[in-house]
Amino acid sequence: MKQLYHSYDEAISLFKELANRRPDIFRVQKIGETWEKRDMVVVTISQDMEKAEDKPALFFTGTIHAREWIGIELAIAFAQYVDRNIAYDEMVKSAIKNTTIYMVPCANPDGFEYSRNHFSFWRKNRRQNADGSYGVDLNRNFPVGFVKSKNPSSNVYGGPEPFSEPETRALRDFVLSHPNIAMALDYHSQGNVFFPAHDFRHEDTIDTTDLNVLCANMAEEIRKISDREYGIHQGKPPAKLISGSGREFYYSQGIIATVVEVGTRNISDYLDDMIEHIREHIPALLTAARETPNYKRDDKIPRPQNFRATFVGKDNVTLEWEPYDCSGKDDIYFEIYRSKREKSYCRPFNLMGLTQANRFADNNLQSDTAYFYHIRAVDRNSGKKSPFAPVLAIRTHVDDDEFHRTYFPIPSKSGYVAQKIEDNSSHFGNNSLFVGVNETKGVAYSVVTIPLKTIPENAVIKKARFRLYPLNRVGVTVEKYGEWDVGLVDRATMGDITKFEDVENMKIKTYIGRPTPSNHLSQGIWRSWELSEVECKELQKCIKDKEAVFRVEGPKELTVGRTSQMMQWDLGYGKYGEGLAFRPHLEITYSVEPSRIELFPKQSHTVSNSGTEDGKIVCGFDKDGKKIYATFDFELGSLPSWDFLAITRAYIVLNPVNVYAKDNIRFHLEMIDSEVERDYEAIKQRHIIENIGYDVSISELKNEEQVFLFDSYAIQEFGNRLQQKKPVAFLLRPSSAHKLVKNSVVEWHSSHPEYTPKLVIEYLNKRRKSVSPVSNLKYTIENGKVKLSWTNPKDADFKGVFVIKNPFRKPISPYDGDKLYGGPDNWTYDDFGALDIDKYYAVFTYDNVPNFSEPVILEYKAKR
Amino acid sequence: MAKKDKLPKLGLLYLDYVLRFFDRSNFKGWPDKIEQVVYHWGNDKDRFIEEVKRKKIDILIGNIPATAYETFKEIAKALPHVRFVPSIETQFANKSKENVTLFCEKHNLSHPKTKIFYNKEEGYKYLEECEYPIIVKRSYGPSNYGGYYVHKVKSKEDAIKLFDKKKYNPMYIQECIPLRADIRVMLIGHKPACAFWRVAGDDMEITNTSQGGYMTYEGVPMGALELAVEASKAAKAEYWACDIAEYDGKYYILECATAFAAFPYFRDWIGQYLMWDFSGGRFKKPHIPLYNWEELGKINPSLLRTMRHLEFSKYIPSADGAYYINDKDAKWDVELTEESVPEDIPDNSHLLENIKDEDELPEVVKEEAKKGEEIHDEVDDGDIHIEEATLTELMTLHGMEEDLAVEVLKFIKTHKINSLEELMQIEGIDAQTLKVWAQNLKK
Repeated sequence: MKQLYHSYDEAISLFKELANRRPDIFRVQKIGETWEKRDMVVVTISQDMEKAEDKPALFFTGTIHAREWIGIELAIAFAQYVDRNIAYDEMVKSAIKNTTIYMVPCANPDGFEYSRNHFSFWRKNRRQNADGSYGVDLNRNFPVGFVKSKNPSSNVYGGPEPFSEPETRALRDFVLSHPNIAMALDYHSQGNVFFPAHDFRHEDTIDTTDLNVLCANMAEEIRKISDREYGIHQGKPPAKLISGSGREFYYSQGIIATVVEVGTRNISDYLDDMIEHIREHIPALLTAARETPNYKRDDKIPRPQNFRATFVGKDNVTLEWEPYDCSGKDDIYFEIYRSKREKSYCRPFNLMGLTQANRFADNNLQSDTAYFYHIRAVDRNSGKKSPFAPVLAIRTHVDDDEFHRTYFPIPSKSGYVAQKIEDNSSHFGNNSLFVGVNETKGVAYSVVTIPLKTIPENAVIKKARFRLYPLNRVGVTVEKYGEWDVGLVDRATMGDITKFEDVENMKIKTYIGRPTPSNHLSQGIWRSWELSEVECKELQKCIKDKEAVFRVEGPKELTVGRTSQMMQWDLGYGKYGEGLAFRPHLEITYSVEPSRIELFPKQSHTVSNSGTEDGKIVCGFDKDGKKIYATFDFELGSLPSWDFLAITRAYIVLNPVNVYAKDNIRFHLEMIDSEVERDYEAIKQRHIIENIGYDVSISELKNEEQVFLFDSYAIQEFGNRLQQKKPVAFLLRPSSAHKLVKNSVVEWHSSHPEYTPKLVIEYLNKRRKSVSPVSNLKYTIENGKVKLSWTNPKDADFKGVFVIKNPFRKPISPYDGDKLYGGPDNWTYDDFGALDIDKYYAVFTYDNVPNFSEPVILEYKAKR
Repeated sequence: MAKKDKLPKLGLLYLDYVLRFFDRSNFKGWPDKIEQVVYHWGNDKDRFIEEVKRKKIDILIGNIPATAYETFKEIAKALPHVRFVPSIETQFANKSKENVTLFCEKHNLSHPKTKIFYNKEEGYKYLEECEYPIIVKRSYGPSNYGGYYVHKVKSKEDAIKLFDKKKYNPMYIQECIPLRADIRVMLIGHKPACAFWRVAGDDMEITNTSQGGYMTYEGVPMGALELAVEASKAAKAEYWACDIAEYDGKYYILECATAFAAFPYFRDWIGQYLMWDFSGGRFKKPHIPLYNWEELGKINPSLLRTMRHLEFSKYIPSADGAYYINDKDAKWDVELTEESVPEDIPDNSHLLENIKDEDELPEVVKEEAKKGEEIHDEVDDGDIHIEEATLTELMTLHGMEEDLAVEVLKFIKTHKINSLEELMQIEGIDAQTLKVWAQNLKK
């Protein structure tokens, strides 16, 4: 398995051979010397080598951890790929035309050789420590967040002081002397995940979105090759963050930096895995290289400011941002990308629009659905692009007949049970959700119990998804086999959910969604199991039990030589959980069986040239070919108030009595102003509010009842009348393809108890407007945390508040930020928030739909 | 069972007026008789050499005081087959402050900038132009004279006054590194085995615990330990102590020597270590955990100084897969220690008892001391000659591990070595390793 890998000397020879043969594209330079007197080298790849130092550069570092051999192998393969393809491959050509790539193929040559020759799992370099042990973890030897450790024999010992090692000093000196470096990728194994740089704070950084998009774009290239999905996770408190890594040092220099954790093993089987990893990462690396010029230090197009959603509807959203006020602003246009998942790529196929305005309306959205928007500016002359504005998250409003619920697990009834563990009950509400199999735990299942308390028994679940957050743990190494399934448990067979045997034997009513295959388990990106209609019906049956129990299961067998195929999902509670933002949840969009009301006309008229007749509904053409209209009026007093009513359907039913007509006339139903005089001239001059439904032809009548269905605009107009407490009037109008038609009329029932015209309204009792916002929002600092408090409104329908924070802009949508709290309390802590960062806190109240109030926004100014 | 190699004959070197650092009890378990040889001040060289020869001593263990250094260089020459422990070269720095400076410069060890003038005129001229404050030291004599010969001088006037009065020769003038505390690190086999901060008393400007400062075992920085290890390796010292200053994130060697005060348990550790070396690995090398002092330092000193033959077992390193889990447990949680008290100071009263002031020394001792003053020392080249290498010397090579050192020693003893490349026959030694070793290891 090791034979196919290159030694350090072989690798250097290969690079030198390339540099000798193609000095215009390749260059090899010594940048330092290790403890064991090996040369540290950087390989430069750029078209037109003399100009290499003038171009924005991508800095590649590999194998800083000795046993993580992907770095040096990828560097070799990439250089060879460039050499082979440069003659004809546009991707390669464009990548190195405007970008210089500096590669340190192996940042730890001593350790790498020690790993190759002596001890495969060596990680550190070969420094001699004070206690006689060897090695400093070079990726803990950089100054940002450096921690002085007293344990040199530790695998992550960071050295006596920052830059104590010749290897890190060489990297530092190279980076500091190359201000053209704009992007840095540090290749590690393992985990199939990107770990972008962070600033040790809980709030996103201004370039979090840039980092996530870069990683996502690279990940999409990887998926193209192998259908493997890479995770993305920027470290944040409360997760334990590593100290003194190279990534944070590069980032501190203004360089966009990320760690790339490749594969599932440090030293993969070359033929089975390493070749695939290399193939995956070459297009990803090219993508990063092509993006590099946009991040040139000190010469970026400014990112769009105050990107926000000024309107969010059930199927549309309006986005706005600040107009550019700089020279050349007329050459700027904007790209807007839309996605349905967090941390999405921005590729041509999700580019929704280009505009030079500072406003964009996006339509054709689904109701009650989360969307994520990205925007960047482009200079149309140079083609250069700006960094991204911080991602904008919204959730479309529920449709008229819809309600939304997000339910979190009951901690005491959620946890994992493992075959080989005695006290499984202690995991509940405490440990992460382990699912899969490993040597120490055996097979493990997780049980997640979701309360269904505020959903009515007559609810009709339209859609639902169950979501789990995969923990960002390098230790989670999952091979490419097996799948993770979520089953809805038959509570009758459930037994004790804290006993392994009972959990294993419980009956599953239905598995939900599609299983997640191992290669789609991406750390740091939510996984969703979306319920089908059939599965929604099963879930619906759980409502009467007031809870739904899910069992999560994974692979149950280990392959030879592996000790673990175990996934950890965040429980979001307890000391191992990362809190509310990462808690498992069940999202439900539901409707209820509507109430139905039938209204009968208060009066009806036939209006013709010869006069107006009460109580009769006749419509057609008279003997002179003049139109005969029929009108009928409804009083709406018996309907609930518009503010608490959602009309799901409305229609008018008419029944013909007699047809005295040829078949070439048609009838239209109009909604008209009820105050119009019922005389022929006034009717002819009427104002049409809206046409209802489609027109009906004589041939369709055949004595059958006719239904004129309101479209949504008509319902809206109907609502306006209801709000104004006005009656509504409808007018039946004839039309014909011929210029002149005479003596053709249809008489409709107007007073028959069964066939009389009726206005049928199907509706839900549902609030249209939000309850009042909170008042007296203020913050104090308690125990080193921001504590927010407010006064809740007195409205009877008040259900709770959403508290979010956003460090970049005033959040208008309750989903545009980190959620800190959801519930009926009148205070919360920003538990992990940084006190030295300005930010906006926003509190939204909600009712049981939910309709969200306007936010009450509090600006937090950091103390300096 | 193969017959074991014969063990070398050990002798303990004692001198009149000097505390006996080791005695036989420090070599617990050594099966053979351990001889003693006493050097009497005055004209005792030839008799001493005769006694060592007569007793068939292979290894002579003990510190030589600064004043007798030159004499012992001659004695060593006359006894080419006797191994001195620590070696005469290793003890180079013991002799004078000037030697410490030379040693640090030679091995590129961080050390305060120092000027040494034998020419008075040049020295006084330097006092005119240098930046103050400066530190002035008396170069010769034991370092542990209790600070009586170390002066912080704040101005040119004071400096001239001082040199006029004390007539130090050479004039040893050092940049003043502002510090309230310095660090004493004591090493055995290049590994720090004890370390502590020495904090100046309130009204003192020069750190010296014997003048009323206090000490604490807490929070000795890794950088200081690393520097001490470097120095120990450069000196190829079986045991070693360094005084280190920290200023602005950098570390400086103030003093270093093989002569220092230590509790009996510490001398036992040295004994255990030396037995490993002398036996070619037959006795196990003692394992002394780093930062043990933070824990041992909690023991009441009156008890600690009576404790003998402490041993530790070795921590088993974590398996790779379990690294995240094991790492947490592997860290010594040594953050909380009791507040230190002045009595924590290791016992160095013996030196003060015997030697209150230079003037009180017997004339013969002072004469011995003068012998060397005219001779300008050179530091040895630092090479290890492979035929004569000891385990301690081998341990100074980069990447050396104790078991490998034992293998190398065996190989050297059983083969005639024509070139270093022959060492590649030993498992675990490759060309790159030899390339690094070749800088110090000579055929």
